[in-house]
Amino acid sequence: MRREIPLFLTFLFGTFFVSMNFLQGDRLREATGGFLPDQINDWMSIIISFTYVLGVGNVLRIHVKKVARRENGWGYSAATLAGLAAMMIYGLILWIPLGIAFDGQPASVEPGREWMTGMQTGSVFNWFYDAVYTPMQSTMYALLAFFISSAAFRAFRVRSFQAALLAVTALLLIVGGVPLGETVWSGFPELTSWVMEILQTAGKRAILIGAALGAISTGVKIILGVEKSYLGGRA
Amino acid sequence: MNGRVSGREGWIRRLEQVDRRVIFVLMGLAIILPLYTGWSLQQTPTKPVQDFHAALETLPPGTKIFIADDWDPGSKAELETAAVAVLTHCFRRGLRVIDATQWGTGAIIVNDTLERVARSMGKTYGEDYVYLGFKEGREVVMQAAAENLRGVYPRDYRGTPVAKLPILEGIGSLRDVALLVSVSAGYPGTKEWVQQVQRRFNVPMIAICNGVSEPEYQPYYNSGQLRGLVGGLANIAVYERLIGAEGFGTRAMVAQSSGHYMLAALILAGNLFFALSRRRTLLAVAIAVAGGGFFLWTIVRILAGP
Amino acid sequence: MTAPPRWAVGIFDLKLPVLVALVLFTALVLLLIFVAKRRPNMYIRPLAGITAIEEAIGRATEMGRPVLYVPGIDDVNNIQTIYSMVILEHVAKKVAQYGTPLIVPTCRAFVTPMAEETVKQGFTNAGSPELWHDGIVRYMSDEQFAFTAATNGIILRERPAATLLMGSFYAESLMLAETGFMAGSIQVAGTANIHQLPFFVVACDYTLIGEEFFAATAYLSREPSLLGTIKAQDGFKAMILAFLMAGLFVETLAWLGVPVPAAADGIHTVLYDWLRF
Repeated sequence: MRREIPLFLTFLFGTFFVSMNFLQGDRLREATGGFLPDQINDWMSIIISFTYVLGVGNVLRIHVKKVARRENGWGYSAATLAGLAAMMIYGLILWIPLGIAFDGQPASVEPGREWMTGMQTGSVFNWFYDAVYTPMQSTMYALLAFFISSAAFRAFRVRSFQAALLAVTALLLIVGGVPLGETVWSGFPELTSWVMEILQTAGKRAILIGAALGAISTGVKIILGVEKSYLGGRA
Repeated sequence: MNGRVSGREGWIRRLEQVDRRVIFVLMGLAIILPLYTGWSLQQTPTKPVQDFHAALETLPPGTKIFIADDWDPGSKAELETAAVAVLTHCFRRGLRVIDATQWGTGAIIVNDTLERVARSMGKTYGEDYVYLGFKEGREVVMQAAAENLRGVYPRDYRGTPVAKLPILEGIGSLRDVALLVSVSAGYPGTKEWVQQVQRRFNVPMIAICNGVSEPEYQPYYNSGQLRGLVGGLANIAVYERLIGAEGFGTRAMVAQSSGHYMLAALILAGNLFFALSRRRTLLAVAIAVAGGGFFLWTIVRILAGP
Repeated sequence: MTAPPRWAVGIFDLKLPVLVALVLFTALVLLLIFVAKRRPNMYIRPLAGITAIEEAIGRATEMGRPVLYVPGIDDVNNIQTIYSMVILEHVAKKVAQYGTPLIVPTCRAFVTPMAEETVKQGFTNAGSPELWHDGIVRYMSDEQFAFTAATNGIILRERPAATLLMGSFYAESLMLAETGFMAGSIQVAGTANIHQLPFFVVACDYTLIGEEFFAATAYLSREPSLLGTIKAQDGFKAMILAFLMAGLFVETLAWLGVPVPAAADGIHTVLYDWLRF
């Protein structure tokens, strides 16, 4: 039963969502008094939201174990747990004003709403988000510019005909795809548009079709119970 | 003589395997220095960008549209710029904006961006715009919103019941909006909106995305499922010019152009050193002449002006 | 009031072309899985990337350095993660046979137990279940760039000789690949995320592009369900190709201004009235 129940539920809900593509939502709503599809969609949203609870539980399990056993890098785990606790306390439970709100006035909240309303403009939670999370994320993403430059320097070597083709096309798009390219030669925008809209779209479309067929086939196998690896262990 | 040959080979090898920190510094300077010049560069709008602009420009004032702001601080450089441009365009046209996000980590920055633009243009919350916030569920939420928006978002981001918001009068689902605008950084994003909403319910849709995602969405523009597509900071800058609201995108074009040309120079230099180290003289000469000639021509064109 | 859908019947919106294609494809998948169970030696052409995985593991064994396997950063709901587990089991079996250390950093809390069970299974298949220990699968963070920073740290400290990047990747793909190169690893990547393929092609030694990644799982595991699926996908793609060629023929005739014969007009009707739903 440990495997049969999840397989049955997978089949039931998988079939429902596939069949939704072939049903008129409004007519279905009328026929079932609103139960389908709205109720099922609500259930799915709730279930998916519970994954956050499980996710936090897993994070706690792994990092608490690391700290308790003083494993290699346990200090970072302690920092992770402290950050998690801080954001949850300030975000969910405790509202502390810090800074100013959008209208230029000191941050405030309606009386009686101090609890469970941490995420307000001017709150500590938002400050953590704006001052810590946002710059860190942006910085990591910005590193890509440097990584691509070092990768381009070493990788775009003309070792073969295909490599030469790759390098030449990349060069054309790199220099032609920015405004300076149009200054250098007025034909660059048209050339880069043609490469993007015709050449690369053809290749992308082929890969898209292949990947879509892979996704459909795996979805079909999971719904029909042929693929059971998501349950863990041997099928 | 052997010493001289090995000396030459030695410095070619050293150049071929130059410390990547040198490359990082060169790229950093190429991007940062032009930001202080105050120069600007123009680019002709391509058809997808023109179509994106036209899709919003042709909507009558008062029309309600849905903006899916699916991005987070990682894509801030491109997509905050894009979101500001789209919102500015919408508010100038008098369009009424229903905004939401599928990215939990972007919920706050999307709200901040929306509030900043709306307040600067004197718009009223609940009348001219509303932010429904983040709802977990990805594709499930998308297709549910296309069936029953109020069921998916019973309250807005501020906790106000949606029934009390004038902007949502007459909006039962995404099929009731005139246009779906996807501001997308990846997954879930434009592709999922096309699959779950545009394709199934024929909702008119346009998309503005980061540069790396644009090739993936190009087939949807070519097939007509997307009525307009703006991809990458260069095209976002073009869109800013089209709406007459030059912002960060426009200012960054000199830096981006400079960075791209530095990248091209690095590719050519890498190949030149590769050819020299392999004693492929003809290839080395061809690269040096072509590359050098191109950059010389670039300088001439820049000095000559438009 | 919008017009009723074209294929509306009662509460159904049959979308006949889609329904027919879905039923046909499903039938093909199930049929070929059945055939694959009867004929387990169905032919799949070897791909350079698959051979490269074996070579990479061999290189790591010779150098006495670990193999790093990153199963993507997406959750179990992404099929690429599921397929990545199949390759991971094969890699785990190989490293257990050679006695090579294996490191598997994971980005999702739910993928972690799945990866643990997969590696244990691989070790068991190789007859060495005792090789499993807690430090092999390392859960880093659910946050994309925190995971990337942590994995880069592992790469630079532990200097794996082989880095296998198999699964769903996003912006961190180039960071991981470039760091792997800095550490001197031979790198094999495989993903169906189109937007990251250019980065992998540039930065890695071998790349399994899109379906090659799916085919690799069938090739390595020889499981009938995977073999049959790959064959079914190939068959369906051949069908799509036939329609594309027919459409190209009709469009070319129209573009040349050649009067379209009745048979071609019938094809035109099928393509534009039926498939253009």
